[in-house]
Amino acid sequence: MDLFLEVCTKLANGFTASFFLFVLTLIFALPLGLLMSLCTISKFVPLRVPMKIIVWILRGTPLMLQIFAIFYLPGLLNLFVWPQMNTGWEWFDTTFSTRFIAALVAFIINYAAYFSEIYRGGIESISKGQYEAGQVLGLTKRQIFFKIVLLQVVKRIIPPMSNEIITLIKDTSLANTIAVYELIYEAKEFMTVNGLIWPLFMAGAFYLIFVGILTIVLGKVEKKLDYFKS
Amino acid sequence: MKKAIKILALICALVLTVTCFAGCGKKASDLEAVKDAGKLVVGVTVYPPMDYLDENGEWTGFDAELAKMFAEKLGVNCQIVIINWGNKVAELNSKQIDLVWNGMTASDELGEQIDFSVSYAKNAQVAVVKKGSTLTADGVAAAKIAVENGSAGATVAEETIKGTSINKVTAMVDALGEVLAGTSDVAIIDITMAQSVVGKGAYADLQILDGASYGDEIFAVGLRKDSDLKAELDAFLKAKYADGTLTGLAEKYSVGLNTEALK
Repeated sequence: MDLFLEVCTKLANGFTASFFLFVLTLIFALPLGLLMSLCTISKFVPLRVPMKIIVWILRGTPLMLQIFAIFYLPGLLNLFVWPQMNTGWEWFDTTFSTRFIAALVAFIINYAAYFSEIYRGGIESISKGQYEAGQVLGLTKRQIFFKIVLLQVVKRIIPPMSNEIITLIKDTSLANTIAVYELIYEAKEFMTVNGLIWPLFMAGAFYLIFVGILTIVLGKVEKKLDYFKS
Repeated sequence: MKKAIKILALICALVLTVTCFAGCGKKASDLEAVKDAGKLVVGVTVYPPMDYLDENGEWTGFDAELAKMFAEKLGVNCQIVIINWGNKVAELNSKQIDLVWNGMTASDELGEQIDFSVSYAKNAQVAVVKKGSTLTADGVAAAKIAVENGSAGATVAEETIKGTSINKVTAMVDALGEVLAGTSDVAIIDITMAQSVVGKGAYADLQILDGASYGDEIFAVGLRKDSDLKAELDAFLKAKYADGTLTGLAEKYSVGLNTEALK
């Protein structure tokens, strides 16, 4: 029973790291993705071409490799060393360790690249007639984009976004390549130190429950945004 | 259009600043860097009896105790971090850690990438099987072998034993787990670790296979190439041998000292 409690505590700790990785990635990657998509559909070549190349690299290489590169390359090239948080608040410092921050940066830029393509698909699916109608009504380009186009884009991209968001929670386990103590890492620790396999399956249950909750929430959001019935 | 050019110029300026910053950021002395930071960062894996956590979650073991003493001698804190063993060279060279102090076998291949301290212990590889296994030392080559990726055991399995089915896992304890679970027949691991864990606790069902001992290696601490910490570390290890501290630790954790090198 003691062991069971210990496993639960450790897994809960691991889940905290996975959860923060998930939430913080979403908070930063959702707006960054929109910005990147605006660059990729821009008519201005010095903005469009580099961004397309960046998106190509981010979507074309394994996330595991990107995490590795972002953590080790700056030091290997003598650029900088990822700083260690030093607030004196132990929980904060250990949860948001150097390794966590590096992994977080990797997740944000990688997911922003995927999100940007989803945004692009959404924006390009809005018919030209709507822009023209906006112009006829005397709206500025900015007004057309924010008041007409974006509203419909948000609604249309919810299903593909939900897909990516669910993938993200499971991808957080990739952070253990650089020894971030996330859920799978903690579970594997029991396998290596105590020779126990069941904590790994329990970790699976954590993901399953969390994805279940997410599915319900995302379904509600989808319903709520069911305006402009066609 | 003008706005976009402005943004582009800004990005260029930023990249330039970062590059310049990088050029100025080079540090020549590891010793000074460690003293400035006030901490010695030591990279380890959970590897009894060299480095492991006690009941209170504190690092202990032959190497951990020595590392703490060395940091104390330098007048800095000792920060022990768990690394992914396969990434040890990248961890060192990217300055995430200052030392690898984890019963590391000083191999020639590794010596091309990093520097070693004076060798402080001796080691060999042994085969671990399930109790009651009918496997003999001659049969190891044909059996399903589990080893830690990038370890001395992996080299032995490939080059000395010439195994036909080698499964490389991420840690030595994983290799033992493979044997426990029956997914592999035999694990090739360090004798130091095998003597410390096999037959006890979670590994009670395992035993060291008679007559299957391979190679003899030496343990050393890993440093960045040309690090000035090496002189300090070598002097420290030799002094600790001379005053008997190492001999005491070796008895406590049943580790074989490399007495010739430490004289």
